[in-house]
Amino acid sequence: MGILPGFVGPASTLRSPNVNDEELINWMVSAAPSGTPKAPVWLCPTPGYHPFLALGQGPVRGVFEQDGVAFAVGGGNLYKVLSRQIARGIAISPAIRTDTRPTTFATFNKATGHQLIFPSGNLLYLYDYVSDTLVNVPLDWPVTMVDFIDGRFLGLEALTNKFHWSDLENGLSWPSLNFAQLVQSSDNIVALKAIHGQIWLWGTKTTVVWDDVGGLQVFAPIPGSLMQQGCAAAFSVQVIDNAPFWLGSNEFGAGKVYRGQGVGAVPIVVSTSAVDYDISKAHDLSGCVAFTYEQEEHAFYVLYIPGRPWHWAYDVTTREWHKRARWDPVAMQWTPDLPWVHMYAFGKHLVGARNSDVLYEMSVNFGSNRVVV
Amino acid sequence: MPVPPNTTPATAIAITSLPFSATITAADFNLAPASGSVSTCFTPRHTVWYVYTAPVGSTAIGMTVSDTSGNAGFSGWIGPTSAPVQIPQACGFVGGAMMINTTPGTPLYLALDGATATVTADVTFDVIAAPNAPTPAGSLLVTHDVPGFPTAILDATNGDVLRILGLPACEIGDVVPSGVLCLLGEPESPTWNANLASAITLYDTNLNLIATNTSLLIANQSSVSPMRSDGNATFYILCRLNSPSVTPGVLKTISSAGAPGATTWTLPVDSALAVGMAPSRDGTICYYSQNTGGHGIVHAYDLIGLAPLADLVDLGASTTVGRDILILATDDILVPYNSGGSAFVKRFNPAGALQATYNFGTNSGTARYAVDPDGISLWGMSFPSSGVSRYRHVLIADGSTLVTFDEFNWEPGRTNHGLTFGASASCPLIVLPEATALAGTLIVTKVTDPVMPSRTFAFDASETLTPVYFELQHGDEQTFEDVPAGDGYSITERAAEGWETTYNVSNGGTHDNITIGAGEIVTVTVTNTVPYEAIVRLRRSPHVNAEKIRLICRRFEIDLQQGLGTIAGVTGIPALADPTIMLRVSRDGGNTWGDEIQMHAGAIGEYAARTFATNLGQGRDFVFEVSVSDPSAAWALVNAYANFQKGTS
Repeated sequence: MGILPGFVGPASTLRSPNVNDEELINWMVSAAPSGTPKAPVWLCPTPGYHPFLALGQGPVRGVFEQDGVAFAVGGGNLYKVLSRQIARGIAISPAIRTDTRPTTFATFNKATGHQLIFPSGNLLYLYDYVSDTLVNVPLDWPVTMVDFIDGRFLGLEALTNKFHWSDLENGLSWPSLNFAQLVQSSDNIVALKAIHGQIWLWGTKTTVVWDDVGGLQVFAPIPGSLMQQGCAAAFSVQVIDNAPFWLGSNEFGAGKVYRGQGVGAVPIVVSTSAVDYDISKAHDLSGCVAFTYEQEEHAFYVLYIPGRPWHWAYDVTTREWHKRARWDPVAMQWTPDLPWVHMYAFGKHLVGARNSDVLYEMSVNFGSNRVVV
Repeated sequence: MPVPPNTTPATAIAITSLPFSATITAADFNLAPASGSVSTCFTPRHTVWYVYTAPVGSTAIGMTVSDTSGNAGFSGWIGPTSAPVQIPQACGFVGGAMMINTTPGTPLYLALDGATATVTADVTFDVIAAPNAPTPAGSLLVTHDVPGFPTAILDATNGDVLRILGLPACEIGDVVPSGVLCLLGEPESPTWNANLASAITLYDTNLNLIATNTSLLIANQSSVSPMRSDGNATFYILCRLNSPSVTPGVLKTISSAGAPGATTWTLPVDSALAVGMAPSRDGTICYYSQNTGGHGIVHAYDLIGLAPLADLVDLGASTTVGRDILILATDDILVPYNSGGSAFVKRFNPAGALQATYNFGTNSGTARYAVDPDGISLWGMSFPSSGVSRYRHVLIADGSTLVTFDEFNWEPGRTNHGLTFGASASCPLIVLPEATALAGTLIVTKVTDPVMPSRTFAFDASETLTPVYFELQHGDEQTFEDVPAGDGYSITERAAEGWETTYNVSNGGTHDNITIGAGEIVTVTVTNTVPYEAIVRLRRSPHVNAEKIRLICRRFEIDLQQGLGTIAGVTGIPALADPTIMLRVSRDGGNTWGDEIQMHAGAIGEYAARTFATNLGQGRDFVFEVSVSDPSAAWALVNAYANFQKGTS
């Protein structure tokens, strides 16, 4: 009896199943690189989900942890997430203008600053750790994404090619001249992320990297950093394995997953034909959301694609793709997996549900799910 | 049942259900004292220990002991712990009985031991549940003054115990026409102490606590102070000072709602020794005390004019008077007293002229009485120094006796198991003006697993409960008080998508037909559990073909982590069982599929199990698809093997 070639392998269902109809759902290819294993690769179960807490409002649009303090935005509320599985609302908080998108966080919590900012509904909100107060920061430009670099908070202005920065360590102060406009390309900026001390700016067709140059100019583009690959979904941009990953778009098309190779280097496509084919079935790529995490020897980029019945997960370690989904035994069909945002807090992988207010613990030790409606 | 000798608290015999009965032989009692004997009344003897834990929601129990010879000497102790406190009344009772207030859920230890040098007869020891029957208007409330003993309500026609209550011990009490009951509490100390201030407790017609006042009385204005209602809604308390005894008494009031009155009166010096008191409707107060000559005198005092009035009655020398003198609607004065070993009540007109004498029996002791609501008859009790108490219902009009009974029956038909209520000789009898409803309490508690405080669950209650709709979150409670005893109550949670709902009714009922007994606290715990959802895992293999040559698949086998069994969690799948792995085979390149074939990964410990299927047909383009849903750590798939036989075309 011989080995069945390729039985341990990735999801690789092509347009023509007669060519390849390999499927891999809730299993992932795991490598056994060292020693003398029975087999070089094997199929390892993907994690399950058990409730960690319910926020009270959903969906869980963003989660963030730093230095032992964790937060979550659920619907139109900011919550402190406590290790004893309690979500505590903020003592003084305005009504948060909500939207259906995930959010991003940036913080500076030291003797000065002690601030956390996040955008919601194109408005900027700031939480003060000391006064336990949340305020709406008045801006005359709509903000969609934030980050922090070199003592300054960054804000991305919606539907433009501008980004802004705050005064040093003060998310309440955004001088009107503290902004920059892309000049190397004309497409709008879709996403902004501080990576390795530099600002990556993804447009709809191109990507460019800026750096802190000091002086009055503060930030300036790095010469030669322009890449002819843009981003199809703002919240598909995530960092793992010291590199950015995103769902790309350019003037020729969209729907491949890219990995950044460095400033100015041509990004490489990591998605396979099967992944690209499945993404092509989605009607609107802008709503795709990704999260990343590490588990044992693996590092994952997990992509939620609205309209598709599963998440696609890329194992950066093995460079193989698999699907994650829940089986609906009544409808007899696959439905997308629960999470779309992730944080590592209190020694656990906590993921926020995209369709409820529940924060789940994600673990490969869970042999089954417990899903709260 | 035979009782093993030499029991101790640690080896106490468990009473698991009531009624309970056991015979303890004289020989057992006469054994040498064993470790654990607690007797202090008599020469330490062998002790037989029992322990009973009353169910949550239950009330007092009764313990009766009888013997056939009539001279069995034994004593009993009760207590809430393994080191019970001896209750004097439990010591040396002979052929009698006692009632015990139980704390539901807390073990109650009962100890019996020989109380004489030699016990001569076997002893029957019974523990029976307290009755809890309806108590119509006119029922007789018998108070008591011994902490730990219950209060009883008697059937006025035959003395049967209708209901047992856990009201506090009291020395004096009264009721107003609206049905509000006021008790002046006995100082709660190991031994009675007249110098302690005591609590005033007020109860509604259902004998639920309305209010407690612990500040109106001060030390030395103790529970022996006379107290009476004025027939309206105010209770008067003559704070008879115990020390120094010459200090005038102070009259205070408290409303039936528990509000202390604004006015107090300082009465003449002789009020300091008053043992009986009664307010009248014309602004006067009568009180009884003995003068220096030993005469019992009923004094009067003008509460409005703030001046003593002429004495009303001189009972003469050598009369011992009870505390509860009474002013009738006619302003006649009722005074109980003891003379010549018999208990009497004398009735005087307002001018102090004797109108009638009612004899309550030849037992020695002081008569106690209570006036019926219509004011035409009175109850009396003569309490003996030994023997039985005697209750007698007498018409004031002509002194005729309506009914007499000695003690009362613990259970109808068990006349040989009489029951006493402790040292109630000095305590009042109270005729209840209204029927007490038999009510219980229903508590609905919400639990979610896992804890999800933000989830709200909606409930419907049966129409006889208020509210009929309510919402709870994890940790919340909904309490229904004063629920009439009965059955047919229901608590139903509205369907909560994604949650499994289970009910636990504390008394064993079902959530859609809950039975609530009088005084019973029934808790319905509604637990919502997030069910475990199977994770379905699926792997479909690449195509297997051989240049379109027909293949015959003899065997397909998977190498995985056999012998780990299943993980508990998913409903219907036991732990450590043999996990199932499903196989489908397509012989036409994945276009059509055969039926599912079950393979197994091995129950716990079956590490050498083989996961395979055989004779999987023939085709030119095989695709294998395996899927699992059982929760298991077995799903580490290393490889798959297949045995194909090549055809000829």
